[in-house]
Amino acid sequence: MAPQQAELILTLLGMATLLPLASAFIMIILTRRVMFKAAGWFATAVMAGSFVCALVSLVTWLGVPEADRRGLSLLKSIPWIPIPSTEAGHLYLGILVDNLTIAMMAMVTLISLLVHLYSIGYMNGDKRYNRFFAYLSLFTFSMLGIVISNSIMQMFVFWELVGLTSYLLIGFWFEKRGPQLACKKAFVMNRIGDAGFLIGFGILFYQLGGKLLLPAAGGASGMVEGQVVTMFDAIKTLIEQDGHSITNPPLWLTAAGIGLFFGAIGKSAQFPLHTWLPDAMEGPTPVSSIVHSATMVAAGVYLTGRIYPILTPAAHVFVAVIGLITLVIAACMALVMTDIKRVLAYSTLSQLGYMILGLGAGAYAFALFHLVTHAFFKCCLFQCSGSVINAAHHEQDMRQYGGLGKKLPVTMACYLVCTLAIAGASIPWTEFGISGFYSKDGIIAGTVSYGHALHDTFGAAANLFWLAPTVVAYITVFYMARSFALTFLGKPRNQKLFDHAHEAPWTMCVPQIVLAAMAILTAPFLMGFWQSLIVASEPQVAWIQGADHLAHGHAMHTTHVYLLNGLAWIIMLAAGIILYIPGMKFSSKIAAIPGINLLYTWAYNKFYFDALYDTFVVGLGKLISMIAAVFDKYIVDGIVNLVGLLGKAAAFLIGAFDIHLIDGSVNAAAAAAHSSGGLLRATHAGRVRGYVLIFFASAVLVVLAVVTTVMVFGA
Amino acid sequence: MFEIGIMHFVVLSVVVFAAGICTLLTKRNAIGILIGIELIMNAAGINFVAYNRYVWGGGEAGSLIDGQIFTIFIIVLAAAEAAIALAIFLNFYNTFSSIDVERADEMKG
Amino acid sequence: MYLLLAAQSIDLGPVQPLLFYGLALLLAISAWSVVLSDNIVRMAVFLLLALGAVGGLYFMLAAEFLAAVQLIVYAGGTLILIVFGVMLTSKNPFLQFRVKLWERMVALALALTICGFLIFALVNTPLDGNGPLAPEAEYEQVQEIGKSLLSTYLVPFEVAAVLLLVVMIGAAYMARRRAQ
Repeated sequence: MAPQQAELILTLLGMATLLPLASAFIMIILTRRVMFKAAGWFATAVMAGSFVCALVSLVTWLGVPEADRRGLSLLKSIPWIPIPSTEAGHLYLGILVDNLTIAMMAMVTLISLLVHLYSIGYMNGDKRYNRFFAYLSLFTFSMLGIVISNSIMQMFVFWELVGLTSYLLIGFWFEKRGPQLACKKAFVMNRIGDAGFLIGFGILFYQLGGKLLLPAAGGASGMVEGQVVTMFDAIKTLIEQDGHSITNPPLWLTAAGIGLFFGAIGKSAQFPLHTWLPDAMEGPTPVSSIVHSATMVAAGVYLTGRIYPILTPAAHVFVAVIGLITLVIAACMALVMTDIKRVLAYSTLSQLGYMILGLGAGAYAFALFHLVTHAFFKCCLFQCSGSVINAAHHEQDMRQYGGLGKKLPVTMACYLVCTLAIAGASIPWTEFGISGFYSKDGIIAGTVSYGHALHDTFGAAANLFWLAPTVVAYITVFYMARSFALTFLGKPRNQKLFDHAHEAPWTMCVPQIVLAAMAILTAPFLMGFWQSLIVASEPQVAWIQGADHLAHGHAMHTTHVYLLNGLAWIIMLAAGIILYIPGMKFSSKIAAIPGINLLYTWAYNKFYFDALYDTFVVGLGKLISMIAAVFDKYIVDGIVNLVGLLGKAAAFLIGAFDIHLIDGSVNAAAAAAHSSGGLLRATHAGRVRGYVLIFFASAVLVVLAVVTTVMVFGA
Repeated sequence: MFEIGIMHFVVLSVVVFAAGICTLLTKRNAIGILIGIELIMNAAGINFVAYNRYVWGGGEAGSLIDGQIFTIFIIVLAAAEAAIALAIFLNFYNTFSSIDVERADEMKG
Repeated sequence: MYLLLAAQSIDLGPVQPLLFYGLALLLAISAWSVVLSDNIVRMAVFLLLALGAVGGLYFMLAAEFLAAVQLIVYAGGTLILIVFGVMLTSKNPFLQFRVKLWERMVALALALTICGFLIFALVNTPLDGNGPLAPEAEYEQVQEIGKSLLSTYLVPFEVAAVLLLVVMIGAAYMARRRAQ
């Protein structure tokens, strides 16, 4: 790659990252009067510029022969925080560009652009219109910062910035109780994950002495300025020094990997910390669409992809199990939700579970590819749901919908396309399908080989690794068909709502159409691009990922096992649509069957996770705070009061001392002066005769004294 | 005893002097006090003249009347003092409508 | 003046002690009457008597000029001034200011103490009290006084003159009628 091209790409991506920040600042500064109305178009234009930058760098990158760009990393770093005691001497600030970065930049900027455009219509008339776009641009900037970071440290900075801006956006309508609670919940859940991130970061920092630069192992062949040792090289050197090997990694490396992955659990809403994501639906729908696709939840998966090379086999199992649990429970919950946005939210959880499971199972390329494809169709689905909610005057309950397809043809078409995409639709028994078909099948193929590989360790339970995602793939199709049928097909169940429904304005329709087009086109036409990018970015980690199953898994990627190949997706789609066209009539009967109704109730109540957290975590917190309050009230306050009493007593003693001794002596002195003055005053009474008397008496005394002296001592 | 010497005059002046002091101390009337002062001055004058007469030291003619010159000055001073004192008393009287020195205690501490 | 000088030469002889004791008695009684009297007019009268007695004593002591000045200035001037003062400052010329008895006792004790000291001192002073008298007729007394005032005592004389001027102006100023 020519140096000019490298410079161009680095500059363009830097610009693409910083442009949203600039527009956010401009919009925050020029509030209300200057550019209140123009804020939406301004932010969209800036995002378009950012997207163009990313697109140009993508094209430039693709212009390089594939053999050259495989494993290529462009790294530009400047010393940031000096840490003299470590080997590296500095923490570095800079840009890392490799295949994954290029792909992610293009995807994030495009989706952000479309969400900005969509928001112009959706947020129209909001009293904090300009501020919304400022937050949105800042959010995009944070995500781009994560994507472009060249060290774990720098990533963590943007990571927290994402957390902050998501808090601001979810709680954008902070006058209402729901968004208040939701944004707090999202923030707190993310902090729990970030604690794990910090622990992992701390372990790595301690072990590696600040060598935290991120290029993938073996990727240092590109333009690395100076002789910088990357994190992966450092780890490799370190563990080989200690006599550890690929199959026998040190415990700290596993701990660090799981720690960092906890950050991803928080951000990507994986199993123990997943409860914030459905609640985040309280935010404006454009926020949901960007959070669920390109930015926030993607950050967790991206991080897991970045740290993929340092995940030890044990950590891989952990990651896979987390993903597995998430995808199953989320799919079950999505099956029973009646709120259209909640269905989509649990669907996102489920899909994220796929990605995490894929990363855990070694299907690295397909997991990240699924991140990209999912971003497009999930963003589109949310925008469609936003259009529906907009048309339905903020009614989100699907039981009130029905037959809206007649009023919202464009939205219905887009929603259908994206439903097919998430279902992984393909032409039966061929290799042609739309986006989800490729990515999800790849993941499932990876899990199959992973399950086989773990058979020796876990026995029959290892089959769950591939059985569960396969079943959930069917469930996914079913619940998406359900939401589609309930919303757009059948007869209107709420005539008034139906009569007032109307198609969204063009600023909302255009992004939907573009995203739907992307959902179709990524698959057959862009799939080659994406896949080559991601496969090329896959770290050559044989030195650490030495387990046989991984090698086996990689082999599986090339020959897809199209599990959904055939008529399966058509059957499930048809079943869902037929069952739900008349509304909830049949399904409520099914849900009433004993046994199923128990499951239904559990799923409908989100498996009581919120109640569980409320009872145990919040309750424990309350108990601790109660104990602390009692401690405070009786012991700390008691001590404080005692000290206060002692002080009071001492003050009383000092006061008495003051009044009686010091004041007394002062007063006595004053009184003595007064009385002696009174005595002497009598001699100055202004009496002439008194003066005369004293004069003569004094004369007598003087004479007497002289005479006495003379008589005593002699003349 | 019948021979009059300086001792007689001096003892007489002491008696007059004592009378002057008593006058000063016992009179509340300002003019009474002035009178007491005149008595004391006259006692002094008697002394001067008596000593001039009896203890002259046998000097030149000019020194024969030194005592008398002092007495003249005493008389002059007495006259001046009386004039000033009476002027003051007049003012005092105008201010306090009284000549009682006991009233003149405005400046007492 | 000549007459006086001539009179001086008269030898009183044995009358002298009688004259002295008479004048002394008059002086002492007048002086102590001033002390004992509460009436300001009487005090003035007794003072007049005392001043006259002093003038007589000056005659006895061969200071005729001084005796004349005593009578003219004191009895004729100062005393008249005092009487005027009494008249001007007293609504009732017979006004009395009572003085407490203990004050009188204190004053008397003090006076007698001073008296006793002085007499004690005089008695114990080796004074040639009865030495030769100064020559009487050998000089012109008034001439000598005039010469002395304008030569030896010129400065005190001039100062006295200035003093008298100042006193005159000052007294006139102080005693003037104030603007009401």
